[in-house]
Amino acid sequence: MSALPDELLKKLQACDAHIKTTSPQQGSLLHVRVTRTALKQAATVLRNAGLYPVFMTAVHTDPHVALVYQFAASDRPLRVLLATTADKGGHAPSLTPLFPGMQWHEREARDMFGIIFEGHPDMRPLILCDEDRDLHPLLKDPKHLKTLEQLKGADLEITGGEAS
Amino acid sequence: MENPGQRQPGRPVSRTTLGATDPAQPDTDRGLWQPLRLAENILDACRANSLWPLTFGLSCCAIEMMSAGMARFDMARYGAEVFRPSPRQADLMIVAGTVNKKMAPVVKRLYEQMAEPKWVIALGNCAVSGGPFAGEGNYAVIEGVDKLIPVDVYVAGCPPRPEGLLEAIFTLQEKITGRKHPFPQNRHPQQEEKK
Amino acid sequence: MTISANEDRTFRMHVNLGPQHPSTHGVLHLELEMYGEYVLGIDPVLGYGHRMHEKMAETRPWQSFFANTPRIDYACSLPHSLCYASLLEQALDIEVPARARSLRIITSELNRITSHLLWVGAFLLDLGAFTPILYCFDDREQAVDILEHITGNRLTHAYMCAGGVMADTDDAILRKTREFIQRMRGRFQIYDRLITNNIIFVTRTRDIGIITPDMARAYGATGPVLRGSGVPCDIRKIAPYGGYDTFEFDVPLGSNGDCLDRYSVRLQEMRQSLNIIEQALDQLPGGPVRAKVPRTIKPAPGHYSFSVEGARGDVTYWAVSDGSEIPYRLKIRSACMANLSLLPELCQGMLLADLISTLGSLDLVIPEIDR
Repeated sequence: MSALPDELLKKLQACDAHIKTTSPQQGSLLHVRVTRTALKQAATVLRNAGLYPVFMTAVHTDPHVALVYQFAASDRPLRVLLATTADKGGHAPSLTPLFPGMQWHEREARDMFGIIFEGHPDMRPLILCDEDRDLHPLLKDPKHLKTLEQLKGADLEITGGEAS
Repeated sequence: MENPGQRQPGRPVSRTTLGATDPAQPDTDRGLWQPLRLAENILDACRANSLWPLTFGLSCCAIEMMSAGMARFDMARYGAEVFRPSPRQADLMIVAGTVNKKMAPVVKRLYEQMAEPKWVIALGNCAVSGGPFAGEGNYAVIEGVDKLIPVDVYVAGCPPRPEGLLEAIFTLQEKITGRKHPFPQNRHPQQEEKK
Repeated sequence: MTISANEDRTFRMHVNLGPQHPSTHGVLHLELEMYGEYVLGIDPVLGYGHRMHEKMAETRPWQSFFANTPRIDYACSLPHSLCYASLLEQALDIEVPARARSLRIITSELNRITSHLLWVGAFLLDLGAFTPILYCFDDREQAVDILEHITGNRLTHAYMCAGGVMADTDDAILRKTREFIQRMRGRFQIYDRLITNNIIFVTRTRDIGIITPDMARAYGATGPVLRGSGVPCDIRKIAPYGGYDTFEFDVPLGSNGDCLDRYSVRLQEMRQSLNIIEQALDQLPGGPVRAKVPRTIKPAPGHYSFSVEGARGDVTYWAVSDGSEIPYRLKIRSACMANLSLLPELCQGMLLADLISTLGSLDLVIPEIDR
């Protein structure tokens, strides 16, 4: 197990992030939760550290859709799970200007969950056909919806005023 | 009166058959029809033994279709060697894979662009009935390509073996010519030795 | 270059490449802005292979998703199944028996070989060479025979399950696997004579589609695309899983980042896979092939993630459990999606024929992108 880069941790903490470290089977995983306004700052730190974007996805929880990003290092067993939530209207900042690879992930998140990414150059449907553009199939029925606490996703939850 | 669409021995059942399905005139072997019948038989034999498939692999079954065209299973022995990329030059559309809502208009357009006579083989469970993706929560997959275009032969399997596609070609040839291949290809060599 | 108004009117075209085209691997639709033979821009249109895997995961029990995992990336399906099985084992804290680990590695590496052979043949077919695909499929059929005997299916292998593999295998097929390894090692010289040293192939792939390491990392491209640019990123070495750390193998790298490098990387990877299979056969222990797993799988509430090295790159599954027998959310990260996303930036100003080379060298399976 390689040592965590302390500089990375310090810079992430400077973004007002809550960080938890776990060691699952494959190296270390940093769970970082940030507010929506600090998302771009945290992503910049990760980009400058040379991490590559693995995926961007969303989870429909009660009351907001949680956004989850995973980044990985290409030379050590380190992965970073960055989490925030979309606001009530389903808006979130886009990371495409920082990581061009996020462009298609964010378009897919719009298709599946209806999240609008501000600053994204091109919000056309990616996976669904035109007539299904507002289908948002991965949004859940209210009776199946769970809160982040029920999902024990405390490390995905952001606290404070930013939640709305 | 037997079903005029049913295959009768010695009479081909292709779409270009002249007068064979007219119940008012069942006996069309005499007179002026006879040379035309012979011409039809020859044409149907030519069509059946030189089918030109359209390269239309959509997902997993496409790999088995490629394997069927390669050296071990070799569709070329049965005439279906020349895969054409353009529908204008093809007469057999092998729908190999899942058709979803976005792809459906494309399938229809390609089918309409093919010239008559044309045939369709639905290869694999997805093309037959939606396959493993049909069922609860399905919002994108068309449950069977026969909801879009008429299908001549269905091949079940997920994915079907390349021999399944070869058997589909034989069945289609039988459908076109009205008779089975004179030298059956599906005799197992071990059964041959026992005889 | 300056374009006169007349030239602009006659040479500028909007051309559709796909969704039905012999040189796209699956149903990719590229809308090309062309100026004569030069590509000004690409707009990929995806979704023709969308089969709702993530939605299906939310409507079926955890173990039923093993029916979907082989069909996501059907050319190299066992790493996907391995990733999902390992994710469940991590969540349920199950230890996989040693024999199952070795069998998983043997079949995954055989699958990697079949996937790369399929790619080599299809790539050369795109470039216009019809002969290599016949040789590649001949070798592929030998490997597929072995996989069929072990797993039961030629293509969509339903072999992995949480806790191990579905069934044990016999010694006869393992002997046959050794024969396959010897045979395959001798076949590489055919590929070298026919393809690698072929002047037409080299002209069409050298210095074409050069991907820099920074560009690859910015888009999240992994696998042979990233290793062809010289970055030694292979999850089997960096974050080993399933017993890969007990085997010795090299990670082939390219230097230039062009199509020829990506081809060489995949060819060398096949050799390394043969080494891994041989070592696994030498060390194959006895014992059970499946650990005891509860009848209904109900991971504790929380989120879990696992990554493996597929034939096309980094395959990551991320699951959220609410404690019930049905997943709350399952995210499948496909390697091809990131690999394809760099094509619009890469192809500007290319000739159309070079675009076909580059597109082929990315090794795309479109239903994996669309899931």
